[in-house]
Amino acid sequence: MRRLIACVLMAAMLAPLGGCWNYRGLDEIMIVMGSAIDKEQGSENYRITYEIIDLNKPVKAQGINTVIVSSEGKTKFEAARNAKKKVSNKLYFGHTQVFVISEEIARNEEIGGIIDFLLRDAETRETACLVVLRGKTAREIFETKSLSNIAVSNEIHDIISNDQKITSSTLRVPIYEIFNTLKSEGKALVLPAFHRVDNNGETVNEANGIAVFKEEKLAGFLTPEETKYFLIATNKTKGGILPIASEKSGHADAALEISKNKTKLSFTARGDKVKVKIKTETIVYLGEILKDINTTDLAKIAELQDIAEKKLEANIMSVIKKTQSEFGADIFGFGRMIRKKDFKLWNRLKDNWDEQFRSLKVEVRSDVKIVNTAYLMKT
Amino acid sequence: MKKEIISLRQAVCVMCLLITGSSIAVGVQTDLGQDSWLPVLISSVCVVPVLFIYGRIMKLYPEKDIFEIIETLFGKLAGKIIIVLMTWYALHLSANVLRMFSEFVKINTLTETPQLAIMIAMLLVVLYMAKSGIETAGRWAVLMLFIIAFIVLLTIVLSVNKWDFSNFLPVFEHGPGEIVSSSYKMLISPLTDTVLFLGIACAIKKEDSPYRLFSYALIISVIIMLGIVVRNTLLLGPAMMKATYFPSYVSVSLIDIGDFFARVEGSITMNLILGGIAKLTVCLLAASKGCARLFGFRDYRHILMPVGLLSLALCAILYKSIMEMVDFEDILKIYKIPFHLLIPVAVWITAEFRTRGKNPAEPHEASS
Repeated sequence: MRRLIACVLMAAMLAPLGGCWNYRGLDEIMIVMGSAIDKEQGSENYRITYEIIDLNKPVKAQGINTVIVSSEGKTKFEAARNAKKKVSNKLYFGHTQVFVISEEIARNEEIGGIIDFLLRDAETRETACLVVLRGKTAREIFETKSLSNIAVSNEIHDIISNDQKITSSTLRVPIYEIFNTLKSEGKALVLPAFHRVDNNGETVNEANGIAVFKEEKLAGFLTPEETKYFLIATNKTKGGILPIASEKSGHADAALEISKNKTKLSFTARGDKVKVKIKTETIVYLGEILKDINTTDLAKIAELQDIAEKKLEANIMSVIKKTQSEFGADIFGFGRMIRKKDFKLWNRLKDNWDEQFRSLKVEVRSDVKIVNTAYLMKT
Repeated sequence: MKKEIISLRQAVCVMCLLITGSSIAVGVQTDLGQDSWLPVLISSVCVVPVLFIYGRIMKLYPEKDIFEIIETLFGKLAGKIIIVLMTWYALHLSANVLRMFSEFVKINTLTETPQLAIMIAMLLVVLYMAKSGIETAGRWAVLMLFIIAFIVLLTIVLSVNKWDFSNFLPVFEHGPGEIVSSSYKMLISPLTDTVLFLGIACAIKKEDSPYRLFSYALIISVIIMLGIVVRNTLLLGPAMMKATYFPSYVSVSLIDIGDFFARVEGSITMNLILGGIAKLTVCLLAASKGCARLFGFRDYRHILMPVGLLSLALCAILYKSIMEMVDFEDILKIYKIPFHLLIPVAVWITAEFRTRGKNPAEPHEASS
């Protein structure tokens, strides 16, 4: 009898071992790779468009197939759940890598609301990126072709993630960092920006600098070129090309590839008057030069370094001037630096920091070192 | 009934799990943002006298649990009243812990599973362990503390590429008032939860010094908690740390090494379950020992099951939502004072008085 009861109990124990309560088979999950958030023209509704991996078609022959689904709702969360009306299963956001918002939403709505929605949900990853698409609507991003034969969202995520090593034209900002920036004082938010371009007859997405936010709303964009110098000034760059003119006047005829960059911010305060110093130390390779040059001639190399330093300083200054005059948003985090180093001074400054930032004195010192000239000694 | 005895090492591990059990997953006090490491240090220094009192009680009456001591010291009626209070506290704390863990699982992993199912599953394991006795719990704790400490260390090492040391700046931004209040919360909530250990103190050998037990446990737990605080601050930064209910879980979910080693937050859930089981086991053991003493049962194991079910019922009606649970923490920090400080101090003073003139190692043979 005891044995019988033991057997029944053992069999009963098998039931919960099957797994969790809300079991979902892999073929039943709709894996969302990316979503685009729009606001419907003339209505209060949100329209969210999802790129969903299609698991039913063979991947080997045609690459990854995706399905585009869109849904509407009064709030973003309602719109996300409303997608169920069109598809057989609840959407799964655990693998979503990219969220795209349109320029219009970025301009007119506080970005904090979107971040709250993304962070509050248990499924979405805190490491996903938020992208601003230049143009009319955000969903256009999925109407393009992926060049690497993966989902468009994946491609965008990869473009952003690897960009700072090679071109330094945009910046990866995971969602949790956006939240931290919004909640702490003294730093304005920047997000990666994309636009659609024509490539060999097809429309594709291209990284296009960064979007600058002032008080949670889009204030404008930095071009990829300006972004490069912004990234150098904020110590975010890991690579990229510095084109320079080897003669004092004339167009760019040499290119230096950044191998390592280190930027230090510091400030001096006299009373409540603050002056910020930016010191950059860049190690570069000489990657391209048009003129005949003997690169073992150290005086010539020193001259090139000098030109590069001047150019770097001037370009960083002009980006700072632009953000000061056009946006008035402290994207460099000067305020945050002051807060971290001297929060008593910051408490006096913070109330009219935006005004102060516009007229802030900044000094840039650059140091460029050419450490090698690749394969060629002379040309 | 054979007397249950655990070694000093096992006792240290049980106590460490008791202290760090909830901090591992939920995270340590985050009121102070980037200065959160400070209250950990301050409270661990301030807690020393309190732990000394606990240790002294154990020293004066070795191999006895607190309920037995209370009965010996205060007589039948007053003793019973205090035992009721302490038993209620152990029961309430166990319900609290169970609720917090089920909320965590509900929000993070099993969003569609009814909470009751999670609670029952957890409770069954804990009851089984408690029924197997303190010795089993002791042996189990040694292994689990090692695993938990290893996982904490691993997450710290693996997150090295995401460290941002400027998250610690500015240091000492908060005023002394905030620091004191946060340190007090640390002191009252995980650190002096060790009072429950007095409920199973009968399992400690006479020869083992309780002072050593408490000091080892304190040092190890403080190291673990500091590790957790430092990791969370380095990864998340103050704003995000304050915003989320479960900073440890969120910070570990950021770990990502070269795209292939990512999403290790499962390890935090595992830690949480291990730590939770340990803490719950001690709570339930203490509660049923108290009940047994109250009604004069010889073996506490017979009433483990009813006490466990009582805890389950209490747990289900305790709060309506997680918001209420977090809100209740403000009341908890006052509510816990009598159980963590007043009753132990009263017991200690009376015990000193009663044993004066006698060799403390051989207290008077009252009951037993």
